[in-house]
Amino acid sequence: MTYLLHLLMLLFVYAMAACSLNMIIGYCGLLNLAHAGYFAIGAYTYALLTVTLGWGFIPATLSAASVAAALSLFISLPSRRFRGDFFVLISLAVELVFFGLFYNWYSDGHPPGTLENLTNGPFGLEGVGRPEFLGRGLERGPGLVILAAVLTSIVLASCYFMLSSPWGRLLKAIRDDEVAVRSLGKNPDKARAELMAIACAVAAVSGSLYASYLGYVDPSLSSLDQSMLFLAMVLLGGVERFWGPMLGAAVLLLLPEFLREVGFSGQLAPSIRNIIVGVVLCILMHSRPEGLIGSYRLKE
Amino acid sequence: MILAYGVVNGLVIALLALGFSLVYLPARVFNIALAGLYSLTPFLAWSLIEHGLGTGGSIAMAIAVAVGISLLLEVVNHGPLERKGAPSSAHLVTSLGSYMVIIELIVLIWDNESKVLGIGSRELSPLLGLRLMNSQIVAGTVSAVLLALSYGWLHGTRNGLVLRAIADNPTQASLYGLSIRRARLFAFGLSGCLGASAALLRASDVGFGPHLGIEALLPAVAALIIGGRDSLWGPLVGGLVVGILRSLALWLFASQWQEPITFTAMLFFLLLKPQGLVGRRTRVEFGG
Repeated sequence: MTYLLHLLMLLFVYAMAACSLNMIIGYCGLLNLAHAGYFAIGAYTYALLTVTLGWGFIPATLSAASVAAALSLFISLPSRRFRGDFFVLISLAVELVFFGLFYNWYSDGHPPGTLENLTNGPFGLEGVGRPEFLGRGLERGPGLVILAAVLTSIVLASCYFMLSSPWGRLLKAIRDDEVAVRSLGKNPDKARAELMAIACAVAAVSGSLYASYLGYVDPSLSSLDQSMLFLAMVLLGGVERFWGPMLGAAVLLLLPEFLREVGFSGQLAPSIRNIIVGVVLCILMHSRPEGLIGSYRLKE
Repeated sequence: MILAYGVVNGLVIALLALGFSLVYLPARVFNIALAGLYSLTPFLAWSLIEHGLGTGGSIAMAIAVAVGISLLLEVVNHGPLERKGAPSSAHLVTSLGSYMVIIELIVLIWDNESKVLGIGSRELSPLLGLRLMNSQIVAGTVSAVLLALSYGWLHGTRNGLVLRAIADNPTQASLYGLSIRRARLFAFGLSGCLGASAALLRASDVGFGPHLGIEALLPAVAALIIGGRDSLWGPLVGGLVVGILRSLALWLFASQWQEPITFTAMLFFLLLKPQGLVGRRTRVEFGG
């Protein structure tokens, strides 16, 4: 039972993260490899605020979202000028810079969370605060999962309504023909920057939910593998289709469990999963570039 | 001394950047799998040496395997995708996928640890009064020779000419009846060879690990952008600039500042001089 709850929790976290990445890939047509960086920024902001300042779940999560939204400028500014391969390259560089910051902002002899030792380097931060409800801390178990379910539904529902609003249609139009949209007097750069800020904020919310569940954060949250996993979830499920990334997240989260059932040991399972992800990405691009239930193919 | 160190590093970076550029220009494939090959080659050479094969034989074998895998990627993956008219993002995603597969295979076979290839000598060389280690002298010389050979091949033979023509304009080149498939195979093969050699030179100097490939490829791509991505001379110029910049960063600050400085320089060039140092100016719509 606890194991099932663990899987459900992961599913909520990854569904949110994958959905936010889908906003960038499906509605801007830009492949973004920096998403794990924003996921980790959410997790670290949440962790630092709860560990050092003792903030509660809601203010810490909201701050995490605003920090990520502000930092989304790192990818939304380059997206004004670069498309295709070179945008991917820039997002990869942003990702590595974030990882480097989390990994290197460390010095001996200072307590974690101070300016000299903000992220505690490779050791990560421990004792991340758990959400409280009516004065009682929620431990791992049904309480936290219900909180995650409520939070995920609220976030996903607001994304859904935003994307099906005129603003969402504007974004699709920009993706398909930017010149035509400009000639109608709309501002594509502004709409794209707004979308990226929202998507990064959602990634940060899922990151802080993850941090509050695990109770610790470390730099591996922002690794390239994590970004690739998000990317694979979106591409496997289906680009642009709202439910696609959730399908992809479910498949890729259940895959290691399936592998363990088949008899691969716990240490082998992540490697085997990554190999399967790599092969699946290749096969998808050859035979079904729009993903399992997707409707849009990347053009550039 | 700093300059000499930077030039040696720059030549190795230029080697990898040229390998990347050779595939990028004619085929428009953003070949991240090259980072996988870069990681793989030293492990292969290391195992072969451990199994008692001579150093020269092991190196040749490892490079041959890397070339083989590079050709295989073109035949199985990028070639068919190209014929389907797939967008460049499809090439990129499949290349990322191949990279993941190669890296995880390395981790499964050889474990996730860094090693040092025991073929380079770490003694200081008395040559020229420069305080460089022997392995660095070897790295600098070998990459200079390989770069000279590659540029000689590109500019002195018919196959090189065909490759340059295709890099310039693939559609027009195929209208003239040049074999695109053959030229692409040449490009992928040579790219694998250059990437593998750069990896071995680096491994004999500073060691190797499964994740070093991507860490090496990104400065190489940064070098390509700084030098000019439309020109085959871009990698050489950019590689030297990046190499010197990185050794200056090492000298003035600390090693963990090398990456931020490299990428800041790259962003600076992308924003202010996107055609690079030796590239031609193109209109934004085409250069984009």
